[in-house]
Order: sequence, then structure tokens, then C-alpha cells
Amino acid sequence: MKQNVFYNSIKDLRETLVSGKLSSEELTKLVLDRVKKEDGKYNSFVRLHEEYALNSAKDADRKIKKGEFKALTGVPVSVKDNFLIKGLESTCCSNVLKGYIPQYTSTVVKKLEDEGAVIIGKTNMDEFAMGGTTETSCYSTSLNPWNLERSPGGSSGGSSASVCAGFVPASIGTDTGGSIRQPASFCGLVGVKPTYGRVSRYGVIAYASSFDQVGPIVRNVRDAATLMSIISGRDENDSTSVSQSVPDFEAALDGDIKGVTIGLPREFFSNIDFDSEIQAAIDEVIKIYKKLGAKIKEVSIPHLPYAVASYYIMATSEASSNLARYDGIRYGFRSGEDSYIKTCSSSRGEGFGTEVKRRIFLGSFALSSGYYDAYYKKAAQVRRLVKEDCENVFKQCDVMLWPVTPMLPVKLGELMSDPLKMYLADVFTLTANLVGIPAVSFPCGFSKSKLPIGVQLCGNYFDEKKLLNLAYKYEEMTEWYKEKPLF
Amino acid sequence: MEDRQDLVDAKTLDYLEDLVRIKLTEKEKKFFSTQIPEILNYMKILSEVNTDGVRPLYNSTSSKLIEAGDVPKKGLSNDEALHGVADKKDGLFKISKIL
Repeated sequence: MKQNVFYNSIKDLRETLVSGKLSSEELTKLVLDRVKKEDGKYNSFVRLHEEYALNSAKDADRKIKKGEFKALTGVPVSVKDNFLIKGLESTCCSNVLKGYIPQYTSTVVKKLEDEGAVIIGKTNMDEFAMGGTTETSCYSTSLNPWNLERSPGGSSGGSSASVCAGFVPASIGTDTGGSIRQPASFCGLVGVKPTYGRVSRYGVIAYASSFDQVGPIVRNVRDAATLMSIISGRDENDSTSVSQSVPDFEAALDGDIKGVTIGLPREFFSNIDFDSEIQAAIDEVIKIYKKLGAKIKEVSIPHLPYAVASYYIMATSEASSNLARYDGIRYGFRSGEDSYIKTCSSSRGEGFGTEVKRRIFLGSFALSSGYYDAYYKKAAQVRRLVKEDCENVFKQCDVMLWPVTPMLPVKLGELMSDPLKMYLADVFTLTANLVGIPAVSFPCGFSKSKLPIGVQLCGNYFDEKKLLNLAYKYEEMTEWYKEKPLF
Repeated sequence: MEDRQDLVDAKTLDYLEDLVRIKLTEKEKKFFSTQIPEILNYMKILSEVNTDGVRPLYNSTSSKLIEAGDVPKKGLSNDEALHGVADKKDGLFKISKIL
């Protein structure tokens, strides 16, 4: 039994727990023991909540005995360290928040727990979700279970590593410019960035509020659908969450995809250089969709070449505003100085890492007097043009398809010395955040050196159902998710 | 936008340092003095786009924010709100002198 509980999907674990072959407490202990023994190789967790998790597991067992079984009852889940859970340290992997104990719980964690999930612990991430490798974390860097010299991606890299290493079937991350989809892709997993407003951000430590979205990183599309049905919906505590009805995403997986039109934006396929092995894998995906009856059509997003600049000006501007609250007064870290202003400047100078500071400086420059119109306002105008381009594209096709990243999982250190290169690497993911549309990334093969490759589908607003349906149909044909890293 | 990145010199960095209340290390100042102009130089690409008459887009999906009803709700208690504070006295933040 022990060997069989790892690398399982949510569905598999539910069946095991329902059958009574294993209790949730036993399962939780097995997971905690294995994380303690083996996570030193991957650094996927920054904190385990042993007592908290075991109490949740015991509660789940009581419910199972009474026949009260919900979608996640007794199932272990990890969450990124930017989700608040009352009474449990949450740091966003920043020295500024070390020791910070939240006094309330995020809506998404509450929804997971209402469905019976056992939150095992918090996963590593780039500091304040700013980065694509977890190398900006104030803790250690996470490593990719497929290849320990490579990154599991970021910023939700601890989440992807925790699922990839088989510790948990699911992790919840956040995606501001690709931080769910890119790590899912680097680890051969499925990641969902929902439509902006689909999922509540209440209790999620903010990076860039008009871009941040919460979503799952899981082993297969069915589990993604299960979690999307649970975490979606209007929340009165988040004024940007939307009152759209939440469909049964799982029930939609089997829909017929014959006649669905998939758009390939020529700006991605003709104008950007990406790895030849990724190109070959994407070509195969297109062939499979054709075989499944989908129509392929070339489309155009004319303002796409300006998306990276627009995104980074706006995201850093929002970050500079959001992170102003860490003043050394109201939260954890305070540097001792003899005046208020010195205390503030030293606390922030010592507490924030270099990448966070760089983004605050960039954002503040873009918002500062004399530069606001030329940078921030201009970026916001271009954002509208990219959105209008996408709206036009969705008049011609149902979804769009392109790679998740231009490169295979990066070697550690590869992007850290050149911030502009780091920002440009997000070119395939940030467009969905810029315009607010949903996107799903899922595995589509491996390189010759056995590194995972991912593909991405982007849909129209609130059309996650179609994306999951299409991803599921592809997954049925290929079953890449059955591959596991060798140890 | 053309020449504005040239303004991010040592003086501008000092100004920004004050504006954002972050004391940089000497090493960071050295990095930022080349990296920030380089990144802003890339952003110049936006000046190629004609945005005359285009309304800025600050939020991708909501045309207007949904307002909460004017109903009082229970918030955090004083103790809870001050839980993570490094220095406090009589239910208030305690800070160094301002002037």
C-alpha cells in the first residue's frame, strides 16, 4: 500500500480512502514521513503543518466513517506560501514576512478545506511571486525532480516540484504572468490560470492585483477540473471576483471537440525563436487535434510584440504600490533605526531581495511624476489594444494554442544574471494575464534529454470548460501524465 | 519616451531610493544603474504603437467594481490586527520619532 499512495491522482486517492484500505490519518503520516525523508533533494516545501494536517486528517476519517464524503475528503494538498491560513506562518518566501502569522484564512484554502482537503504544508516560491525559477526565494531553491540541475519553474516552483515528486496529487498556486503554467510545464504537469475574477484572491498576498489569479497544479486534466469546480465562484470579500455561474468542469471533459477551431497566432509561431524540440512537440499536438476533428486556423494578435513591455510596466507599477505596506511597522521584520523614515528604508532595504527591489524601482519610476503618461498610461493603452486583438481572434476561433515557454526547463542560474532575459522568457504566458483570459498548460512530450515539454491553450473569457475539454481529449490520446521521474 | 531612460542616472536612483523608501546596498546600486536603464530602454518599444484616443485598460475583465452593501461586518480585533507588529504599546503601533 505504502508504495501505491504516491504519484496518485486525486481520483485514485479518493477511491483508496473510500474503500477503507487506508485512513486519511495513515495517508497523511505516509506523506509527511516521505516529505521529511526525501524533500531535501527538491526543496519543494518551506513548511510542513504536521499537527494541523493530522487534525484535518482525523476529522476527515470521522466524516468518512459517517459516510460523509466530499470531493477532497482526506486528500493531501500543498499550497504556495502566499496563501494565508489563520495561525500558520505565511511569508511569501520573503524575509520581510518571516514570522508573520495570519489572522484569517484565504477563501480558496477555506473552500478546499470545506471539501475535506488536508493541507500538508506550504510550498516554496519566488519572493512575492517575482521570478520564474524559485531562485529569488529567501529560503533555498527548489529543484526539478526530472533533473536536479534544472529548475522546476516559478514562481510556483515548490508547488510543481511537490506534485512532480509524487508527495501530493495537487498543489494550489498563483499565476501573475505564467507562475502556474510555466512550473507545471517544466515538471510535466497540468496547470490552470483561470479567467481574471473567476477565483477569489481574498487572503492571497498580492503581487500585481489586476493580474494575479489562483489555480491548480495537478497530474492530470480530470483533477484540474475537480479543483476548478471547487475554487471558482464569486466571493464578497474580493470585489474583483465575478458573479459568473460555475459549471461542472468535470462533466464537461467528455464533450465532443469535432469542429472546434484552434487558432495559431502567427506572431508566436513566425516571429519568436523557440527550442526546436518544443516546436516538434507542438507540431505533434496540432496533428493529434486534427485527428480528433478540430480545425486549425492561423490567426493574428498584431500588438503581441508589445505585450511584454506593457505587462512589465503595469505589473511592476502595481507591485510597487502593493508592497508599500511592508514598512517595517505593521508586519514582521523591523530594522532598528532612530527615525521613522530610516526604520522604513532600512527594514525594506534589508527585508526585500534584489529582484523585488528591482521591480519596485521600475514600477515606481513608471508611476512617478513626469513619467506616468509615457510609461504607465501608455502601457495601459497598449493593454487595451492587445485585449481588443484577442477579442477579434475569438470571433474567428474557439481557442488559441501555443507553447508554454520558449525553452526547456532552465538550468539553475541561467536567467538570474540578466533580468531582461528573465522577463522576456515570459512571452508565451503573460498575454493571458494581460488580457485576463483563461489558459491551461499540459504536458505534450519530452526532449531527448528527458525534460518535460508543455503546450498551452488559451480560451475566451470564462470558457475554461472548453479548454479543459480539449486538454482532456488530448490527454486521453497521449497519456504523458503516466510518466514519472526516475530516482 | 525616447531619451527619458537616460535620466535614470545616479541622481535619479537616489531620488527613487527616497521615493520608495528602500535603502540599496552599494552592489545593488551598481547593478541597478545599468539594469534599470537597459530594461526601460526595452520598454521604448511601446512608443511604436499609436495609442491616440485609446482608453487605458487597468482591469482586464471588470468594467466596474462590484460594491459591497453598506452593512457593518465584524473585522479583526485590536489584538489580532497588531499580532505581527514588532513594537506596540497600549493597543497602538509604536514607531521611532517622525521629526
